[in-house]
Amino acid sequence: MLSKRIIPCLDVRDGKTTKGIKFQDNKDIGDPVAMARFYYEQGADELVFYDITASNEHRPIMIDVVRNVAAQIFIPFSVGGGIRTVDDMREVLLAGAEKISVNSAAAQNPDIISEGARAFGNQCIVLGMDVKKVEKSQKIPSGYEIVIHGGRKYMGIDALWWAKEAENLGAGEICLNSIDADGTQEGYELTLTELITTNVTIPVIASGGAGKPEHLAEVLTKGRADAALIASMTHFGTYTVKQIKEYLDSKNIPVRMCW
Amino acid sequence: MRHSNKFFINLLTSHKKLKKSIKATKLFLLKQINFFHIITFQYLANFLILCHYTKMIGIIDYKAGNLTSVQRALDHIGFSSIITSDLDSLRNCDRIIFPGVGAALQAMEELKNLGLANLLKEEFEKGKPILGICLGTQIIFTKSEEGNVDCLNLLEGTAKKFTGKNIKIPHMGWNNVFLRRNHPVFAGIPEDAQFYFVHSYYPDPDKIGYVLGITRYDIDFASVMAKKNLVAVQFHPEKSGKPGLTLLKNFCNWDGSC
Repeated sequence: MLSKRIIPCLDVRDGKTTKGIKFQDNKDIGDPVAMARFYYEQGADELVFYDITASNEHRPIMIDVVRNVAAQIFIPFSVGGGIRTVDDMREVLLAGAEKISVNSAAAQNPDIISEGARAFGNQCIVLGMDVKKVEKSQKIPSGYEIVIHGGRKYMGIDALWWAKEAENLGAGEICLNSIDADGTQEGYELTLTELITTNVTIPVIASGGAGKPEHLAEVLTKGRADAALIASMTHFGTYTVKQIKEYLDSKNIPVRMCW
Repeated sequence: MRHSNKFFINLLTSHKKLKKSIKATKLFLLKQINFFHIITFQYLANFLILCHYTKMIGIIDYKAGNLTSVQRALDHIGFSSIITSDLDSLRNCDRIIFPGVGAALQAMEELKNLGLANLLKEEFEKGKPILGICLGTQIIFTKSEEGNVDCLNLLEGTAKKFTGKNIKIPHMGWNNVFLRRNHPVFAGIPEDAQFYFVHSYYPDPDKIGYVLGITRYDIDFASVMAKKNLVAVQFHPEKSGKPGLTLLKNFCNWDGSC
């Protein structure tokens, strides 16, 4: 049976993770390669790296990170942040990433999805969607709107329409992030997740709001997500990936338990 | 203080005793093994080391997908490999890996243009161990529904599209492989190990005898095929963590017999 995937997400700035893992002795690991190894050995099913490097001059640092991760861990991982052209995608894929995540670049220029899918196959292209709840209107009939720049800029695009459109354009997967739930650690946005995942035929990764294992169980069953993104709950040592998986396994949610 | 001194003296005596017994064992062993045995053993060890390091794995380059990830995995488990479309280089390799991500139609065109289609058939006939991965596996069949293209026909069968109404396509993520029988390439891999899949078409061999492993996704499909010196897997061993690395290692050490 196909397992639900648990995916730790690492934000990387200038080659360092912005939230290091804190162990019980409060040792801070800011090295993304060491963190990737740590999660790989703990049973993570996949990894996501977001390059939040501000300047273009520092881009080669991220490519180095990708190369080093690819030499040491043998599970799929995707890289997002600052990818605007097919050449950017090629560079990241050649360095060893399995998938590329496009977010604001795609909301501003949807053609990047079809160009990427044509060049590297649909399975390589993940559409990252940042979504905020708004009043239902003629323009935003689902009541969920696409935002960019961390939720500061509203795009006037309906989230449900955009998810379907991205699938038509050739996206192989959607990473759905609720800006309202993000960082709250109070649970994923279940209504939004279910709305999107039941209306597309590509896999959906739920993101934003994970604080305890029960939240993952909810989003993988009621929310019908195919995978769940986690960050703070494991970065700060509150839980390990193994503990989360053991909990999900005890609730009869199919997860990979042998690694 | 006195206590700790005593402790150290005890430790020292026991260490001396240990050293004595090791010396005695060494002498005993040396008496048992004569000079001839030692030389033979050294030659054998050198030969084995040489075999391991000089074994060359050819990764077929037909401009499809991420070939470097297979090479990185082989580097990690200590096997030399070369990514090439050069026919002679591939003939000289000890093993051939036929990977691939992409579409069947373009891949077959490339394979024909580069002369690789014939090479693969020849090397298969010669008995060289061949491993197909993902698209490589689908192209080994008679034909693929993806672009309705005629393929290599090393294995009789078809690559078919998933048509289930309530499933996500591609089949993406970790899934089980139920083995129908043992095979050297799966040696030492736990029964409940899962592998990483990404595909929209699935292998459907004509003969049940070719099916080595079965995976359930809406339907039960053949996820591993085996025929003589050929093993073909639908998943990506290079992205399947430790079980995947074990599979690759087993393949590199496999002589092609079952």
